[in-house]
This record gives sequence, structure tokens and C-alpha cells, in this order.
Amino acid sequence: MSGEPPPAGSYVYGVTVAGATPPPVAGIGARPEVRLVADGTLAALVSDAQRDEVAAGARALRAHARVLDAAIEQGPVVPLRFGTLVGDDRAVVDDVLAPHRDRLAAMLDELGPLVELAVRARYDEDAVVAAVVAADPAIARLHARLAGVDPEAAYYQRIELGERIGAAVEARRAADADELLAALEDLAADVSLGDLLDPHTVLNASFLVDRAHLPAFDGQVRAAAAAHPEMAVRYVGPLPPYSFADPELAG
Amino acid sequence: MATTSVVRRTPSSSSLYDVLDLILDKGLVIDAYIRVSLVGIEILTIDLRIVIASVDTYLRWAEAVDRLVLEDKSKSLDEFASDMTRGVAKGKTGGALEGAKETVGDTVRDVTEKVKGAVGRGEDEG
Repeated sequence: MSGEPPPAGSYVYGVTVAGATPPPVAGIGARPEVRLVADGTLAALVSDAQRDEVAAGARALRAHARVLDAAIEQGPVVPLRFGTLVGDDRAVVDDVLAPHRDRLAAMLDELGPLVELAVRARYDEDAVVAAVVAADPAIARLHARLAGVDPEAAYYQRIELGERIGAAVEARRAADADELLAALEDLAADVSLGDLLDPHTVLNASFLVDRAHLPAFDGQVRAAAAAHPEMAVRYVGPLPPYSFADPELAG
Repeated sequence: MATTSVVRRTPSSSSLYDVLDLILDKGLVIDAYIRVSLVGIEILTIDLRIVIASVDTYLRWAEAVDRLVLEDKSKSLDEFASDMTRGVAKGKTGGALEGAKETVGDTVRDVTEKVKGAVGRGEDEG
């Protein structure tokens, strides 16, 4: 049960409550039907898969997301990390469900009607630079002075200009991130902040929100995006609580 | 006043790229198992992070400001936003970063496109 994943077996998408309906969407590979493998009050969402089908790339990743998306529409689901393939249904019970029964049951219970919503806000580079130049006369003057000057000749001034713009964007980014969070967090039971992958990302956050608050949260996201035309806002969900599941269950 | 496009909530399976990090890096790990890793994609996302971390940020900002036309200083943010929308629609690639050497920014974009390409394949499958 350790070492390498088996060449074929039962692929586990996540864990839900026994008695749930299997999500009516296709899972991974040539035998995509998703079934429930139950143990007591828990049930794993499982389909037959080959290791090569799982490793094959985007198609498997998309199927993993699709099954979990459909499952969270029906009730609480604890998502497993992509790529969990065990030997057979018996191993699903013996190695996945049974050793972690209490923790999984508690997580599903706490989860109840909560779903994850991912919000990513990113500056449009030209728009934010324009805003920064417009807001800071010193930057605007330096910019004006360098206009038309051979970039090679003005190398060090260009670094200075870039440094000032970078600092101004950074200051704006911190303030904007705080503002976005404040506008969105009051409806959330929990917030998870992800890495800012590049200098343009303002916010990479996931919110754990009660399904009943979805329309209100949608409205808040729309309002926040409308207040910041210099950002592109991506809004994804409802997701199973990827960001709020304990990262690891110690055996 | 320019109209702002309305942000819509989308399911993850139709905007996989946006939540790639969640699906690959989050979720419960069952300790007893070595997971099957996805050929290609994990490597690409790691590359993306390394490249982004090494971006020569200052010169990049200086290049960005070159794209500003001085007369445009008085433009309102709304106008910039509509410019931005057009820019995005055009795919806004290399041309603006005129000149000499390939910037790290381009490399970031290339890697991003590669990841997008890899994930985007099979977009229309059931």
C-alpha cells in the first residue's frame, strides 16, 4: 500500500456521507461511472481507473474537478488531492475511510452547507501603471523626462522609474487587497489566502460560504469588481472545500 | 462612462486554469498513498512559479510605462478600463514590449500559455 500507485484500481475523488447519490457525471478514463463505496456513515466517491489514465493530463484533472463539482451540488464533500488511486474498493475502505473515520465524519459534519468560492483579482498592467502615474506627480515628471530618450542611455533612470512604479503598485496592491477582503469576508465562515503568483495579482483568496448566502456573496463580488475596473476578477465555485480540508491525515 | 463587464461565477470544470493550484495543491492527502502525479502539468506550474519569482520587476514596470502615451495622463480610469478590455481582447502580446531582448515577462507569458494549452485541451469533452 505504499511505494507506487497500482497500475489500475479504484480512484478516489473525495468523501461524502453514506446514502448520498453518486454524481451523474463522467469520471476519469474508459470506465467513468462514479459509485459510492460506503463504510458506516461515510462513503467514498470512486470510479475504476488505470494509472496511465490518471497521469494522462488535463482530461483526468478536468474529470476530477467535474465529479467533485457535481458532488458538492448534492451535499458536503471532503475532496481528496488529485491522484489518489488505490488497489480496489476494499482498500478504499481499509486504507482511506476506516483509519480516518472520526476525522472525516467530523469534517463532513462541520462542512454542512458550506462551499468554497475562489476569487482571484489581478491588475491589468497598463491600467494600474496608468493609475499610478496619474496619482503621483513625481513619477509622472520622471516619466515625462524620459519620454523619447534612448532607453540604453537612460538605463539607470529607467530602473529608478520602474522601482518607483513597482513600489507604488505594491502599496496600492496591499491597500486594494485589504479593501477586497473587507468587502467579501463578512459572509464567509472562513477565508484562505493563496500565494500571489506574480506582481499583478492583488488577491488570491478562497471563501467558505454557506450555500444560502451564495446570491448575496455573488452580489458582493460583482460590486467589488465594478469598483475596480483596473482589475480582472475571476470568480469560481461552488467548489468542494479544497482549501479548507486538512492537508494531511496522519495514519 | 464605460460599462464594466459583469463578473460571473463559473464552475471549476469550465475554468480549470483559474483553480489549477487548488486542485493540484489542496485537498486531503491520505498518508498511506503515493499519489499518481500528472505528467507535465505539475512541472509546468512549478516552472511558472520559479520564472515569476525571478522577474526583473523594475525594468518590467519601466517597459509598462513606455506604453502610456503622455497625453493619456488625464484619461479616467474607466477609459483605461475599456482600453484594457480591448487590449485583452486582442490578446495583447509581444508587440508592446518593443525591442531588443526577450523579457522575462514574455517567458512568464509563454509558460502561462503552455499551462493553459495543456489544461485547455479537451475543453469540449463531456
